Formats: sequence, structure tokens, C-alpha cells
Amino acid sequence: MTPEFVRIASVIEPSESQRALASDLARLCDGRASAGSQDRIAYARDLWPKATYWAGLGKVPRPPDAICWPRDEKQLANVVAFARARKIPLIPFGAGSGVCGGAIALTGGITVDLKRMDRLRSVDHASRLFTAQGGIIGENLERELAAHGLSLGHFPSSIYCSTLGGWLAARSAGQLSTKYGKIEDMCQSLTAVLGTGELVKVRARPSNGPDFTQLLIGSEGTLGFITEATMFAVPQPATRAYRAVRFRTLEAGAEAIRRILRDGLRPAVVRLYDPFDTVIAGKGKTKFAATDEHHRDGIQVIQERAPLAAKLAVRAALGKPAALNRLADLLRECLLILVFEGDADLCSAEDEQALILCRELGGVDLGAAPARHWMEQRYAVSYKQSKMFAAGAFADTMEVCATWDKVLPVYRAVRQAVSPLGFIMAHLSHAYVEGCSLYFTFSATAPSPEEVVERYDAVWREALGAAMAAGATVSHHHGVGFSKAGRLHEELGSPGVNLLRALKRTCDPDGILNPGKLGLGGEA
Amino acid sequence: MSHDGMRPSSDPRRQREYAYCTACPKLCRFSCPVSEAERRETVTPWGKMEVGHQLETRQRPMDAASAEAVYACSDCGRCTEHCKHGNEVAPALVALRAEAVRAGVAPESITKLVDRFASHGSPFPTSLRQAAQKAGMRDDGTYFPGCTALAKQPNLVDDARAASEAVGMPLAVSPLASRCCGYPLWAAGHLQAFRAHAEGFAEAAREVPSLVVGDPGCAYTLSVLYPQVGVRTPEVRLWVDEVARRLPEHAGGKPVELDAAYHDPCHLGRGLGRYEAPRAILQHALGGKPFAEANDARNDAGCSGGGGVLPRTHPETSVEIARRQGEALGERATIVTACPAARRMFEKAGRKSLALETVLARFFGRESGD
Repeated sequence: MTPEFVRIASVIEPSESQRALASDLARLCDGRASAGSQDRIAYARDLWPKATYWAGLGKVPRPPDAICWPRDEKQLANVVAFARARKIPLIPFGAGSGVCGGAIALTGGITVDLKRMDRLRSVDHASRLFTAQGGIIGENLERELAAHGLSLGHFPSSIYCSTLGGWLAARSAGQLSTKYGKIEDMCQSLTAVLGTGELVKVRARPSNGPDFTQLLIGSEGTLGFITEATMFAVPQPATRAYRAVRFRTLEAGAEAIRRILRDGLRPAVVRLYDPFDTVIAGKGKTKFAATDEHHRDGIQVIQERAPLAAKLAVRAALGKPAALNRLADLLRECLLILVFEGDADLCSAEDEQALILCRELGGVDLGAAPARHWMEQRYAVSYKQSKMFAAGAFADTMEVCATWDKVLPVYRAVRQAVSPLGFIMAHLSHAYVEGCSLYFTFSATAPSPEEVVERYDAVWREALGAAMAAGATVSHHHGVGFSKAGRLHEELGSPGVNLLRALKRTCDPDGILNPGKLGLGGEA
Repeated sequence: MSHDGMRPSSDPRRQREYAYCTACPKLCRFSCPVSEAERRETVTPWGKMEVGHQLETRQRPMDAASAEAVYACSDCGRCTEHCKHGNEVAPALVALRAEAVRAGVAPESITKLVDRFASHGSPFPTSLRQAAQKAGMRDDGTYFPGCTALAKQPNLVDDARAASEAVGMPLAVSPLASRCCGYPLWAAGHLQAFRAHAEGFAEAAREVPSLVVGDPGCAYTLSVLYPQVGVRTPEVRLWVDEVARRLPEHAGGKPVELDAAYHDPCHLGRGLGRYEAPRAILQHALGGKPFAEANDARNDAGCSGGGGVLPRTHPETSVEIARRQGEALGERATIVTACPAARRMFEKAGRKSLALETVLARFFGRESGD
């Protein structure tokens, strides 16, 4: 299935059938349904960068025929029954922050916005659990929990613009996942409305039998709508210890992370920037270098190379990526950021021990300032893409995961594959005992919009192909959506795909839920 | 653009703002009271600003559906606080409303509002002149309470004057108070009418050196919006500033017994940067007793839904915004605010609300009573 992009100009007043559909849905959702043209445009895309690029030029994927906003599970179940009877696709929609096209309608149908179900229902301090509805925006949830002295422990860079249900549906990871785990590690139970219209409540880690939460987590709306979840909270951290270390090579830095995790240390944040990402990450740090005189030398060594490289980055990203990537190859040094949080004594001890391990591998202590700066600016990167798109280029990120023996081969393979096509840089993060995530950022442009999109597709084809051939997973935390669906099937293999399809037939017998995502359906 | 409804902005800043918002992952969405109340992507700052980009790229004319979206803003400015590009969404949307007006697709409620303004000189079907006279207008008066207070909350005006007198600052209502500041015209996107109104106001105020302004929306209009259209006004002195400065020397009074929560008016806080003065007044009136605040306060404070022309174009949404902000301020507290429009909204949402002026007048035993 290929998404059809249509000109925004063609999304005009709703047809009679769209009006009738919205009218029917309004009866099911106490008046909250629409087929209005601006509503259909707004729900035509999520944050898949290819769609963002086209939107800048006035095109959107084919919009849904109508949008509805059910208030509760009962209304949602009625919407499912309505759609089943008419074989109309239903596209679950949280806040639309996904970057893989997971909330794009593809074949029209009804987009079901779940944000009216956005309450923090209860907090159980004794068990340190909370129950919230799936449509709640992450930042709002975190603020409400903070009022209870608790925290999610889950801080994806999309926290301002994504929902709890969306996190669960796409197997999200937050920036502190090394300490607190991914979203699937934080879920105690969840409630969902399946494609059959049935309401199910499933519990994680049951004493016997399969863990059905893990079947629904990551299902990206193809099996059901996640409407509520009981999650583990964490206490607001009493203290944080910040540490930055410079390594001569990416290899040394990666080995340091591996040893830190192997030795049982649990930093909340682990981020190792490759040489060029180190330059970008170091940009603007002179202010703290001055206040952290003792460690001034280390960070400056890295930064001295920044101005020219940064300027070249922009130019080269606009047309000559191979040249820039060769320049980046000349850089060697890498920045590691560690943040420990929790009990003060424990943080201090872990920080001290981590530094010993880093020094054994030639790491140079840069002090706390770079890590503190990162923490203060941890969501800032998301604002940068606007400038890239406005400049006529595209920017996208690819996050995969590999075990430690494959991390560096994956890094090298992806860099090699993408270098002729686009500028690329990466960092390692979300580190675990067995491996970590590799987070690649690439950007490129071309003479015409059509060529830009061709380049975009080529970058993704080469990058993910190379990553998987070198032993990486298809994704770590962005999900699969539409854009990586084919690769998911490669990863699952034939038996896995058969299992997935059997699950789909059971939970969504009419194949109406989010067609085309995870490579499932699209025939409705 | 001609008259085809697709007129690109000549302002590069606006062009950039529309483009940046269109390509943004909606990072400010959680801060937007309208999108939080409606839960509709179309009325996130992203969705609303995309209308501007559609016009800029000549993809879509300004039509009724687009107009509906760009009027869905309460001009609270909270999204700008969360935008690292510093995009000023509210004024950018007002520019789009001007296009909606030009294209003849502005909501009907806007047409009614502007018609009323033309006939009464304010958004209310009352004579502001008579209201000002009733409130004690004098030729040498300097107090400008704003038309919402005069038309809808005359007791607030009495209380403000009584409290001012108690702190050694007797105030009489200025003759200028018989004019609206014109904010509704600006927010409605009738920018030419707004400029003409501002010029008329300035002409009438030629001999007036300064005004003590009570309504934060009026103060914002006179001191921020008028200069943007090249109109000079008298010096704007805020009632809260003037009173807060004098309060320590006039400590006498009886602490008010009130389970109070303070709501930061958007134009007073984010608009004019005043957070301490109203708190100092409330603290004083409560005899030093603490009062509640929302978890999100000061420059990140929630909105009451009363700004812009939202109560006209999206009345249910504006009440829902007030309900949610009331909830954030505590279920049982009496909401104290320094903004008459906010107070109206809280009351529409079924909450008890008092003007800051009234609480202070009560402290001095001079409350006018309802």
C-alpha cells in the first residue's frame, strides 16, 4: 500500500457521504464528530517527516472521511460496532506525534481521536501506581503526577505532544530508559477496546499464561484502542549527578557504556555522541565552559572544531552530503553524557565508579556542565526540524537497537550506506546490559521537491537495510507505523508474520483497525 | 493577493512563523487552552498556524472552515512561552483574521460584534458614557476601569475606587472611560477599524498625561497594541502597581476570611509581566494568609478563556477553558483575579470569583456590595 498525497487545495467541503458519516458519528459521540475540510486536513498526517515535507509544499496524505471524539469506552465500542457493520477503516489517533505514518488514514475512513479520554484517574501512593486514560498528553500527565510527588520516569522528546496511549501503542522509550525501562516495562495493566468492540483489561506479568499487555503494547492501533493503563510511577528524584566524559574514539566510549552497565551501574541518562554529533551537541557550550574552569580544556578541544564544521554541515546537507560526511570522518573525539538520579549517596557513588571505568578507557572528565546543559535543553532538538524543512531540506531520525557485539558494525554500516545520499550523524543512548539504541539523524536536499522525496526514500531504504543486515532491530522506540512495515515483516520472518496475522484476525476480524500499519490489512 | 482569498503576508516574520509552526511537532500544544479544551488538532497552534501557511503557499483560500480555526484562540500567549522560535501565534492569527474579514468569511458572531461596536462604541449594548458618569466620572479623573467592568461589573469600579482611596490614592473615573480601548476590534481582525479607533482614542486623550488602568486587557491594548499601529497614548499606569506600591504604608484593615486562589490574567502576566503586584495585594488583603495557586502559574499560567474574541466565536470552548482553569485552581476556592473578563468566565463556568479590587475594598471595610 502506497500513501497517496493530495493537494490541500483539493480537500474541499465534505461530500454528502462524508457529511452523513460525520452525522452518524456525532450521534454516537455526543455531537463530537466532523467532516469539515480543515479538520480533515489537520488529521491527514501525523509527524512522519515525509508528510511534513509535503505539507510545506501544500500536500497531505489522503485525509480521513470523518473524525470523531468518543468520550469513553462505551462510545468507542459503539463507534467500532458502527464501523464493523459498514467495513469502514478506523484510525486511532492520540496526539499525532508519530514519525512513521502510524496515524495516517491511507485509505480514508474514520479517524478516532482519543484525547477526550485524558484523565489521571487515580494515584496509589502505597503501591506507587497510577491509572490514567490513554488520551492524556505526556507533559500534562507528568505535571499532574508531580503534584503528587511522583514522576513518570518516562521522558520521550515528544512528551509535550504525545499521549500515554500513543506511547504504549508504539513501544515508546524515554530519555531515562536506562534506569526506568521502556514504556512496556512500566505498565502494570491496560484496558483496550478491540476491533471486535470488546473491552478487555489485561494485566502484565500474570502468574500464569501469556502476558497479553505485551501483545497490545506495540500493536499501533491494529488490534485495539488502548484506552487506559495502570502504570508504575517513580519518585521525584531527590538529587542528580551529572557527568560528561570525552573519549578519543566512539569505540572507547561505547566500551565504557558497556562496562558501566555490565558492572551494575544504572545511570538514568546515557548518551554517547559520535564525532559530528559531538560537535553539534557541544555548540553553544562556551558559557558553561567558563563557569566550569577546571574542565574548560576538555570541552573546548571538541568545540574548537565546531564553527567551520557546523557551517559546512548546513551547506553540505543542502547538496553535497558525501563531502561533509568525509569531513566528519576526520573528527574523532566523542562526548559521553551520564546522569544519575535518586538517592544522593548512591548517585555520588555510581558517578564516581562510572568515572573510574571511563578513565580506564582513556576518558577525560569534562565535569558536570555539559550534562547539565543537555538536561536543561533536552527537548530543544525537536524545535530544530522546522528550520530544516523551511530551508527546503528534510531531516529525519532512525532509531534501531543492537546487542553490544553489533553496535559498532551497525553504526559503520549505516554511515557507509547513507553517506553518498545525505548527511548523517548518530548517538548511542537507551543503553542496557545487552546492548543499546543507535539513533541516527540524517538530512539532505535535492534540486526539486520530487527529487527530495526520492532522496528521502533512498536514504531510508539504504539506512534501514544496512542496519538490519548488520544485525539491528527494525526500531527501538519510534514504532513501525506505515513507513517501516515491510521491514518489520523481514524481522519477524514468515512464522512471526503468520502469528501476527492470526492475532489480527482474532482481535480485528473485519480488518478495519489502522489498515496498512505493521504491514497488516488495508483491504477494508 | 487580490480578492481571491489567498493573499500572502508581506511580513517575513509572519511567513516564517507560519512555516515553522507547520513543520513543528506541535511542541506547544499542551499549553494551548483551546486545543486542550476541544482536543482537536485543527485548533492546536500548529493547526491554526497551518492555515497561514496554506495561504502563504497559495494552496487554499481563506474560507469559513479556515476562519473558524484562526478565531479559535484566546490570545493568552502561553504557546509563545513554550516556543523556542519565539513565534507569536496570537498576533499571527489576528493577521489571518484580517484576511478572513477581507474575504468575507469571518464568523457571524464577529460581524455582530463589529456592528455593535459601530453602534455603541464598545462590545456591550450599553452606553459607556452613562456607565462612566454613574461610576463618578470627573473631567480630571484618571481612572480607566475598562468597558467590561463599567458595563458588567460596576461594583468592581466602586471597589477599585474605594480601595484606592484607602491607600491614599483617590481616583475618579476618566472621561476617556466612556470609550472602549478597541481591543475587540483588534482581536476580531478588523485592523483598519482598530487603527481608526485607536487614533480617535489618542486624539481624545491628547491632553491626558497618564491613566490608571484597571483592566489588564485595556492596559495591554493601550501600551502594546496601540504603538504597533503607530498610535501614542497617555502613559499607562496599572492599578495593581499603583496600589501595591502604596499598600505597605496603609496597613490598617481587617484580614479577609477567604479560601482564595489567585488566577494570573494572561494580559497582566505574560502580556505586561506583572506577577508580584497582584499577589502582594491579595496577600495583604488576606492578612498574610496563604492563598492557593494552580500548579501552572505566572508565565505558565492557564487561561480563563475570556481573551481574544473566543467567548463570541467559541462560547462553549471558552467556558470549558474556564472550567478547566477553575479545576486547576482548586475545586472549592474562590477565584480571585485582576481581570474582569476572567471573572466573568469563571462565573459562567459555575465558580465563585471575586475581583482583586473587591477583596482589597473588603479588607478596608469599603466593599460596595453586590
